[in-house]
Amino acid sequence: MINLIKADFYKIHRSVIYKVLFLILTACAVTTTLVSHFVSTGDLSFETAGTAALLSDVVMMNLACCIVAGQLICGDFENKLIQSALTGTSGRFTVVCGKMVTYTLLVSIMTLPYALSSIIGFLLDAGYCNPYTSSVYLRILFESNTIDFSVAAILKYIVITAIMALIYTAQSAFVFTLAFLVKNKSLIVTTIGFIACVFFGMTSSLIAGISDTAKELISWTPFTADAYGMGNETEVGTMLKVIAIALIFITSFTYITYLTFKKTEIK
Amino acid sequence: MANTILKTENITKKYGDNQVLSNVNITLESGRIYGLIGVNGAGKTTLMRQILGLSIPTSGEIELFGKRGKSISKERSRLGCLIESPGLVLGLTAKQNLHLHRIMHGIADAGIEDQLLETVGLANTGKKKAKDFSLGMKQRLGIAIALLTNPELVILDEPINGLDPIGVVEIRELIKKLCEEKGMTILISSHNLPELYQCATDYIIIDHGEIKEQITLEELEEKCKHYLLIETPDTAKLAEVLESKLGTTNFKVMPDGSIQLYDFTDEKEKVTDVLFENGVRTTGFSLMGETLENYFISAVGRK
Repeated sequence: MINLIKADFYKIHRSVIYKVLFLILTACAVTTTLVSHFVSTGDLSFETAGTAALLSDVVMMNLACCIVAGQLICGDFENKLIQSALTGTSGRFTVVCGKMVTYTLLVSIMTLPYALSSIIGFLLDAGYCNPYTSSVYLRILFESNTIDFSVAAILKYIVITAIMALIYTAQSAFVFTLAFLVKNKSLIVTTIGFIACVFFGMTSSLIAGISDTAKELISWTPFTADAYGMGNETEVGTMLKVIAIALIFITSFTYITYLTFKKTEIK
Repeated sequence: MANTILKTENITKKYGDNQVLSNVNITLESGRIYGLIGVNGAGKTTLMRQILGLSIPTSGEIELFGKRGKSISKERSRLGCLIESPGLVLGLTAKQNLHLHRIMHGIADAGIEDQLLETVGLANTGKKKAKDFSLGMKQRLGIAIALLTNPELVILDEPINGLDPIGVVEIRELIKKLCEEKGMTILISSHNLPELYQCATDYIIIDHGEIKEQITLEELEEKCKHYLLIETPDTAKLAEVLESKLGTTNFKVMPDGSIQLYDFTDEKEKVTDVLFENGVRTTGFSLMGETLENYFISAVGRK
């Protein structure tokens, strides 16, 4: 499996699309941080910030995950690298697991611009507004107004940003399965995946508002408010719960993907 | 001594009601070049995909290097393949594509990349990306990738499609060389028997998903041999005249008393003259024998 992951990263390293995607995410992360700062200084209105919410991780990471799944999996079906992997030493389970590890690592890399801009923003302590969307990274910036710099605080924020990488992987895990189902149609994966991710994100908060039972139910999914509400005050137990939920989702969807891929015809 | 590398037992593949393979039984032995021949849609690629594990048979069993069931997936590391079009990343160069596959298969020897590029004639492609390659160059790179793991069985699906005549000869020579020097077993598909005739040592004829025949080159040559069929009431005298007057023993006496003469197929008049002069009465005299194409067509029952 390690060979498959290494091969994936060799290919990714030489691919333009991942670099462009990373640059776009970096630009979006810097923009959302600057908007947060300028709203707090009064140079921008809070309404303007609402528009900038489209560039926040909540929207952009869902899109990035779907693009990554499309490229990483559908791209390999299209150029027959999956076929090569299967006719080598790797069985279908190994191929699916290897792809999920690569996918998780790639999604983690794609969250880096938001993670770094929020932590750098926190260290600069330049003054930031209330989060204008349910973004953990904007919350970290906002907390810099009240929380003093300390190694413990920084370490906690690093852990939170790492958990968010897992959360985004878990939220989009069904897109991973979808990519193995539709094989070489990356555009379908990106489009359907993104619409579904946004839909689940929106409806989960609505469903959670219906009743306490619904709220409890949603709290056991990667769309839980516990994940988006993480900050300096978040307890270790809550963080561990969020990590466990993300890992269970990722593992479950990896297995579901294997079950669907087990007897699939490879063209 | 030849070892059995692959054995399929009653492999059947159905897509819904469409049966594309029907009780396929083939056996491949080491160090030979097997030509899998059939018209388009005969089931060649489907059979190869079952062997490679890219498709699961509806019924039947595959034995690979003596292993069956789940354990054959490990044995598949001993295979190399090129099915239809090669698995290439078009944005990478030939060497980078080989490097990618080398990493994927965990091969430590980096020198093999240049060696294989040299072997398939792509050593001078430099920074040219695979997307700018001709179809023939892509096929060659696909063959290089198939050989990367130094496989014991190489499965090539129509590998010379799109190659120019020089490329066809080069790939044919390469296939022979791999078999002779490295002892690789090769299963190569084509819809063109004369093309395969140049390199294969064994032939598997498939049609409508059924194996029609598996014969060796010697058997095929025997079946496609041209000869003069001479029918006579006096077989002994005919044989004696052929030996004494035409100086040939290259004939066969058939159970019905007729003689198949393998010499003088282009000198029919000379033969009839000698027989007439020596008083051999003939009741039948004709040139017989199949061309490769006709043999294939009759084997698949299309004539």
